[in-house]
Amino acid sequence: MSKSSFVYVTYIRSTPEKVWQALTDPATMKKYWFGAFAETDWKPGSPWSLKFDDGRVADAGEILESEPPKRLVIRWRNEWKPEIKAEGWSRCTMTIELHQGAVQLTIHHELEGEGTKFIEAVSGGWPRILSNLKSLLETGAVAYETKA
Amino acid sequence: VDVEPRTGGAFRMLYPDDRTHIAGEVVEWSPPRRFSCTWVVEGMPGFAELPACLVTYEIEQAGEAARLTMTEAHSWDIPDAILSGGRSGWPAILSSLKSLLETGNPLTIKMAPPQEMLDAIKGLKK
Repeated sequence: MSKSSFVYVTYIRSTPEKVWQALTDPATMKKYWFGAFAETDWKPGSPWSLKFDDGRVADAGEILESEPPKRLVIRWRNEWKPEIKAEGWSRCTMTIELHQGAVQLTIHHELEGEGTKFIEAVSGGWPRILSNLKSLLETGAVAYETKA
Repeated sequence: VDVEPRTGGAFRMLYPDDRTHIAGEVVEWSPPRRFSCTWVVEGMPGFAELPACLVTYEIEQAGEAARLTMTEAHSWDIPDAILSGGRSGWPAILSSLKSLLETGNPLTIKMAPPQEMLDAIKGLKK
């Protein structure tokens, strides 16, 4: 069966530890994820959920792999739009690599099925979130506060 | 970069020693919203014979930020191995651009052309 997928690579002037911290600390997440934050202990096999700032569950799933500060794999499903939830479980792999001069962060998000609404939605979301994350780590402030 | 700022103008990217790296023609010059040009890699062995690709930058206001979308379009069934060069290069270039604009300092990421791309170009010549 074919897959739909989204890949985004960004380079950040930072350290792998700081990028890992930003990806896993709820208070830091809220700053660049437009108020959303994760609830989990980040251990393999543990439940994971992504909540809106008002506490509603946006997405939910499970931590599949967790290797600080290098690699995080999450089983991930939308929970608030029935037609997207029906597309099932996606897999999101976050990879952090130290390069000479910068940290490379790669997001690879994939789901079974061609042209899925889920991948279309995250393709709009990830660039905003990762752009904000890079700005936050490099300048101390995000690029934009509100979801445009 | 050395560009004639008009449709049909010449576009070149130069190496630090002034040799031509990339050459093409401006397809659209609409500051500050859209810039599009054809793109032939002249400075690397085997690449100049490939069909030109089309590189487009689109700039839009997105809330308090500017959204930059870069598109590389090909008119032929280009092998994935050749695309690997752009896939590794563009994220580093665009990340460095963002750092430069936001902090005043570009990133200095050490990079080399992917071996699979160089091998694929050699394969095409045979």
